[in-house]
Amino acid sequence: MRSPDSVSDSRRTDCLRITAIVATLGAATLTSACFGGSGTPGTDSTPAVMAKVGPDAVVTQREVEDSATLVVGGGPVLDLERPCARTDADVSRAVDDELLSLWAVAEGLAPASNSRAERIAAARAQLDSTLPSTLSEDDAAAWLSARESQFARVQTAEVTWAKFNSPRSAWSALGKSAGPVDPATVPALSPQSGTARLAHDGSGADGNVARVAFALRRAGSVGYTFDGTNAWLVGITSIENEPPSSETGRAQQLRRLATEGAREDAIAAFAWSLRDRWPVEILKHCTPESAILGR
Amino acid sequence: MSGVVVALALAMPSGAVAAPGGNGSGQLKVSVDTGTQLRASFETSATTAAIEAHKAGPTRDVVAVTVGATTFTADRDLATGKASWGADGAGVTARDRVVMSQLLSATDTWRQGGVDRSTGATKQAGGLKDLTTRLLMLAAEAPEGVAIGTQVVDRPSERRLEKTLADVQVVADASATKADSCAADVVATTTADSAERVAALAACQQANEDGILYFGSCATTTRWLMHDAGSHCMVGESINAGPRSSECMGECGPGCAGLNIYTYDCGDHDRCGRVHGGSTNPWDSECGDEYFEADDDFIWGWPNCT
Repeated sequence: MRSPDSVSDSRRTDCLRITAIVATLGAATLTSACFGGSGTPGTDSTPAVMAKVGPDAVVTQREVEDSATLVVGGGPVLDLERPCARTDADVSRAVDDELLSLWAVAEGLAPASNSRAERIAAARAQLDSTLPSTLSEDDAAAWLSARESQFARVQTAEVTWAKFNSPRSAWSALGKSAGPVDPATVPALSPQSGTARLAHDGSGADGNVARVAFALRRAGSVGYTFDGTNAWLVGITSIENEPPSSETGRAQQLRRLATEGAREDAIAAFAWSLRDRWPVEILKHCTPESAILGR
Repeated sequence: MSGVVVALALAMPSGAVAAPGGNGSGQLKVSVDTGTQLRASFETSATTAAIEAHKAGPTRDVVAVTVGATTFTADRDLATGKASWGADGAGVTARDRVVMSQLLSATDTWRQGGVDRSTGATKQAGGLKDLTTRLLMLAAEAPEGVAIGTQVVDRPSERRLEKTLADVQVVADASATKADSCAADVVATTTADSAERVAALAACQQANEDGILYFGSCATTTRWLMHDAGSHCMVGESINAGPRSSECMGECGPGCAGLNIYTYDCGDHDRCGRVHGGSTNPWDSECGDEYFEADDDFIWGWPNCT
């Protein structure tokens, strides 16, 4: 999907410095605003073009899937306040990879003849070599503190839920529009509905109800998931988190997660800066309808 | 929200953009496959992986799978019953999991290598491809952020049972504090005099390591699965599990594309993943205990349901 261009063999030595280690949430989380444009539709053999990067490079649906976050144990969970957040993040990640691959070639880190994956690996290796292998305790604590709701463990949660026979039924019940929904109104959307009190292990309701609640972890939020058979809307009316664990194993895990997260944030921030050099145009955007109906 | 700043200062050279060449194809390339040696590479558009496996003896297989910067290894001897696996203290990242999942799809036919599915649990030599598949499935489900050292998983006992509340075994737990807090949790979440409370209190004193405990049948029915997230005790739940359940609850491996091995430890882990796997936070992982309790099922289990 890329048109050949003339090869320029430039080798420069980079001076890559890190002046601070942990990342702003703003730098790590790209906006989920929908971009306009219709993109290039794909065919059975040609994946859809999702974005243009610089004058010649493109990112297709295949590259997005290769960079996407793996979902385990069931369907992805959507936050109705930002139903396209996951999709947009997957596209951004693929765009970042493309930018890194272009940078690797431009800086002489990998030849143009290498595969995209090899060019990305070369770029990441260069960046990784300048990042600390472990965050300090203070930096890790700061990074985690800025993302407390993502890493806190749920103690209890009061939820409302509604079950539907299909994603389309859920979409219709939402009035064919997504956006902020009051958790208290969720049970009214389906005859199969109710309220529940979830325990720390997710017991107290169907596993899918717990799945949505534990993914969102935010009072006042409403989420959606499709388990392959039924669609679920789940609202969180209140939530209580466990106090921070003092277990050594958990502390070590969190520090590793913070280190990995901060490293990825730093790489993402660097990739974002490359957009000045290689402008990015998102051609195909997610909509709330496409997110819920799975198109 | 408060945050802290990262700044990367980069002296960026000017110059024409070199033409990118080649695409990651998501294809598996097997360069050596002799039965005693297996070598393959795999590449998506974003990541690469490599497989290196060999026979270290008539019944002993050694496998190494490298994904990104991490190498996962497994060593299993069918005759002696000795086995181990690990990642040399490294952890699994979100990027690793994606390519491992894709590599599993590409090696889908390997699941049958050396295993006679038609005879169910009949034991046969697994072969290099079999062990590679098991290691990949195990590694792909590893909780992120957890350092994986060498795990010794010698062949455990194997049983087949339909687990009812009465089958929960009581094992003395030396940790009185854990048992006390566990009991408090159980009392808070169950009805007085209920069978669930009786079983869950017993579970507070149970290590919940079942060896390999296969489902008593391949029926899709409710089974008693345990779940522990965080520092709390295990609480049981009656869950619909089996080959026709949603996401094939109880099968060792991802969804319904696993090893056709249905066990209680894998069911426990699946249940935990159902509850905790939906977060957009790619680092969400609370099923570490269930994961390591199921590793022997992955390494040694034999298909008991098709």
